[in-house]
Amino acid sequence: MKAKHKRSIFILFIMTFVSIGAYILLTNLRDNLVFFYSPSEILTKIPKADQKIRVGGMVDSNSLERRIIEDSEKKYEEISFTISDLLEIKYFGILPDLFREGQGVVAEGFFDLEDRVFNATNVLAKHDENYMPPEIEKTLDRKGIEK
Amino acid sequence: MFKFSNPKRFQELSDNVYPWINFLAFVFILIGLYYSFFNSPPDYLQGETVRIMYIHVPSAWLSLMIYSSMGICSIISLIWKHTLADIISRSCAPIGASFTLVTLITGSIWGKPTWGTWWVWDARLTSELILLFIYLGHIILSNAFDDFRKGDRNASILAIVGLINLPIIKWSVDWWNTLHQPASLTKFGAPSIDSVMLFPLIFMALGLTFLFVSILLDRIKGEIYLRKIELFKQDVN
Amino acid sequence: MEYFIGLLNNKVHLKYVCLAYFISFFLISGLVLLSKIRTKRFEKEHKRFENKNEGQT
Repeated sequence: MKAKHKRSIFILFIMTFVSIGAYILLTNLRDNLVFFYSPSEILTKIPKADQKIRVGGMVDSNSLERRIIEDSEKKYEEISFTISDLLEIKYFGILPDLFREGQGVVAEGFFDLEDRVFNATNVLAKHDENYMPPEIEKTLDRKGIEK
Repeated sequence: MFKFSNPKRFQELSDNVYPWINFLAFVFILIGLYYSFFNSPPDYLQGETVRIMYIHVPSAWLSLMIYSSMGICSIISLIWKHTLADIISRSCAPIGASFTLVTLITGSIWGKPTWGTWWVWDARLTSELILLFIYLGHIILSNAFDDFRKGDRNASILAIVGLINLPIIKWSVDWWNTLHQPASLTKFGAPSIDSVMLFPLIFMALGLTFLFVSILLDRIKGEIYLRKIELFKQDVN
Repeated sequence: MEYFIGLLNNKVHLKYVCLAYFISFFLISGLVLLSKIRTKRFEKEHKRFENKNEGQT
């Protein structure tokens, strides 16, 4: 066998070894690699109450409510909305600019087992892969076409 | 000196095309910048921050493309012991690292107004950060030995092992839930970017690619000189 | 041009866009400059070695 062939086999060996290793590692770490869970995943495998998790989904249209709660010292704005499919999220804080109904969102916080409400400590807007100028978006809206 | 006959011929070719590459890079980047600032609309959701995408996305493409060329050169160098392949992958690494850094920083600046955070540990962002570390590791490893051939060999093995990271970066947004959005331009299906926003993206991508080639040719020239100097020194010893 | 004016008028986003482009410009031109300096340095050093070698033989 020529030295060149030996080296080729050596490289092939490295590449298969690394690929198999990466595959095993990534499939086993799947739960740690996802950035957020879907609401149904949270409702089926209910997390521990003190475990900080992230949940993501589309904000349901017409579900956003803002309520001012007054306490002896300060005013709080309680924000609540639901994400598909029907997980209620409560949040005290500032929503990102891109927060819209019908858009994706990722909330970080704790799941309340008794009220079945997700208490968010942080809300991030998730952008989708669509880019378009405002005018086109308006015409799409007028025609009622699904984006 | 016949050892360098091939790089020598390469150098002649490179000297001839170098001004043209520079010219093309300059023109395309100028057109790209014109489109991205003066002739493209804001996005319906992101508003003006969409303009950051015109530098972010081409840099990200380049960071992957440069690594692929480095990986291919490393395989060639290990099997056929081709000097030019070593020189190219050594010259690619700092350029790739810079474009990866540009990708990460511009992405972070875009993330703040869009997502509401500078950084998250999702699969796409983390794997791109790992790419930066692999580039840096490659630079350090290739310079860690007194004998540059030893450095080339070890860095090549690192580059080949690191190739596994490329599909992970590319498909991380499809394999796992990430905060980062999936690709807008795919081989199949219409692009989900409006055509007026595609112009600046394509021109910037072309311009930055030519700029990469220009820097690469320059660094290769320096690398060939450096190797000749090393050989002179070895002759003296 | 109206798009550019729109960008200038957007007080919130303008600073993010400018920051992103400035940092990118700074990093990439830094890379170009450093590469040029490096190549020039090796070119000079190589010339010195070549002259020395000719002197010896």
